[in-house]
Amino acid sequence: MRILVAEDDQKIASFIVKGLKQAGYVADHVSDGEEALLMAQANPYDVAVIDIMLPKMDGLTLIEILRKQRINMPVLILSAKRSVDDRIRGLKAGGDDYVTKPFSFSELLVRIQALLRRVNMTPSPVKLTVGDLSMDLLTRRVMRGGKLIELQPREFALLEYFMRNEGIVLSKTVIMEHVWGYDFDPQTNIVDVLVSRLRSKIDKTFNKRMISTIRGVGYVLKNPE
Amino acid sequence: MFLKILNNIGRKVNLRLSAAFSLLFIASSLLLFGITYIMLSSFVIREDTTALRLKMFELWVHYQSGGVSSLWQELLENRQQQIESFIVRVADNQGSTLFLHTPDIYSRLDLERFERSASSENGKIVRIRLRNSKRTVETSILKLADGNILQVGIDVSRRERLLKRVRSTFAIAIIPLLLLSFATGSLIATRTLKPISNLSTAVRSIIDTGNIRARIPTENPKNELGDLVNLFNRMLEKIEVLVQSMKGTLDTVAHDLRTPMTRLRGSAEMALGAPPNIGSCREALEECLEESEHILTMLNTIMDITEAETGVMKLDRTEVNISTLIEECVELYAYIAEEKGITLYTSVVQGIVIPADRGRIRRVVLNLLDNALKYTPEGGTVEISTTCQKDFLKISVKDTGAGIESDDLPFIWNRLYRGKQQTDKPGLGLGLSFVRAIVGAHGGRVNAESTPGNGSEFSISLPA
Repeated sequence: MRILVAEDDQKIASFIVKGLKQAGYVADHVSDGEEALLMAQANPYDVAVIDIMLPKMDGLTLIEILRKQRINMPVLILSAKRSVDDRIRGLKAGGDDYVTKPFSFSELLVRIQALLRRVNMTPSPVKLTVGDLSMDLLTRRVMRGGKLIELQPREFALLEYFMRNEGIVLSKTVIMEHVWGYDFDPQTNIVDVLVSRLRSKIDKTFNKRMISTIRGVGYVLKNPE
Repeated sequence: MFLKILNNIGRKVNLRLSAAFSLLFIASSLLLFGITYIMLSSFVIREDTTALRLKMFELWVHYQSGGVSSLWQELLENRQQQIESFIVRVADNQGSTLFLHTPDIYSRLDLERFERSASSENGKIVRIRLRNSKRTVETSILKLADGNILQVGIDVSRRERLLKRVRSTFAIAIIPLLLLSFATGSLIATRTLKPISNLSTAVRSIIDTGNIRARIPTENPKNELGDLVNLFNRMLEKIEVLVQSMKGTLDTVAHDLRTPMTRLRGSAEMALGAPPNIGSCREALEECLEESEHILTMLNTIMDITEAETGVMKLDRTEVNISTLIEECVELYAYIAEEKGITLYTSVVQGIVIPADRGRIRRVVLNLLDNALKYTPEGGTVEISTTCQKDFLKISVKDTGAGIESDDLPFIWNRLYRGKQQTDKPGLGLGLSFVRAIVGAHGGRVNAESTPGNGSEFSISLPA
């Protein structure tokens, strides 16, 4: 998987590239719009991360040109503006998702992976398994260590999201977006409450905990083995 | 200096208007007089000319029939009837006078001049001033069949005097008229320009003192200038709101972002200063992340509030089903209420649709619920209900919390205000301020009632 990162701030770019490499991707960094266009024309990227405020050619123009030239890889827009209008403009120009600065890397990663999945169209499995935890998406049965766990709909949705993103830290914002379908900062501890309920159901009676809290970032579900 | 120049410009406009008014007045008076004068003079001149021609024809007939003697006869008769005022002269082709008849009014005729005027062509009327009698005469000649010349003159002094009188009357009248028109002009100009000068006085005082609270008095709000003044006042109001809100935002940012920033800085500094230890470093980094998250949330909320209060916020209005929205919000808080042992009731009227910004109104309702749940102790109840009023939809959230002291009640909507007894509770202190700002941007109202010890009720009214 090869990812193009067009970002003019060296520090931000370096932490994105570093993080992506750690996650097992190949990342190319460019720091202006024209260079980004050349690179995108020359190489088949799977995803592009494009900052809106780029020197020489701004991000929106870049995306429009790419789309006109039928270079159709998914694009994740980075922006310092957080108004709804900017988001709409970005998506209209041909972007596929939008992240506002400051963002956490884990959130960026989750969004990139979602875009990759969307493109590759991997048929969604009927059954998800992480360690001794399994979820049947058809019968909606959740089992851990052979024991049936009763979950309420939101808890089920949250667990499904965790299991699909095994090992990835999920921020409160992305959880909110996926479990409730709202794209705003919760500013309440709803996510914490739901996670703690889920945790009490799938972790409490077991020795090894699967869901852990990453303070200041979010939550992650990992195979404890 | 600047004021003086402003003043001068104001006066100049006034002066120019008055001058223009007078000029217009004079021009139209002149035109009117000119037309009247021309008509009058052409009429009297025609009268004289016709009389002269008639006389000439009459005398010619007499001359033709009986020569000079017949002419003499006729003139004598006329004199007896006292209808005589014509000078009649017959001259030979050399120009020397053969016959001259002068009425009594010309005591002594300035003959030389009269004779000289006879040298012009046939039928042409010549005008001469007789030196010795101060009279003006119009004369014409006719060549007779025997080669002699018949010259007839008519006294036009009366006519000249009349026209002169008309002219001088006008000249005398025009001076007071001019003054009057200038005075009227400047009066009208001053009256018209008064609102403008009020406007510039007010603007000047605003510029000089920086007091944007000043407003311009309107004398007649119905006319165009009144309208301008009203618009100006509305603009001032808008600027005032903007400036106040900016100040508020700056105060909040300057004051309240310092606290989390200090915590963030403190954590990092402590970790760096302590002996290297992975565990404590991790903890410090976690704290830093949490604080930065906190700062970001706060900044976003402050910006939303400012945008809403200043009217910069663009609301994405759609038809929103309020009962569905409230049910979603309640569902979101169901777990929290359950955890805290609070009963959450909803009694909403189904199917009410109002034009609103769905995302923002949802945040408003969530904030109200969050607030109520935060301040209600275990075992309490929180109830959210809707009431349809005339043109408004009221959403209220009632809790059985500690309530708010009546001293605090008016201030709870202010930014970062927290009641005295509630300083220990977590929260940004921006929630209610956000509620008020968003509801205000929708054209709605907020209200809070409370009985200390029994609970509070917060309500918002949105235009339906």
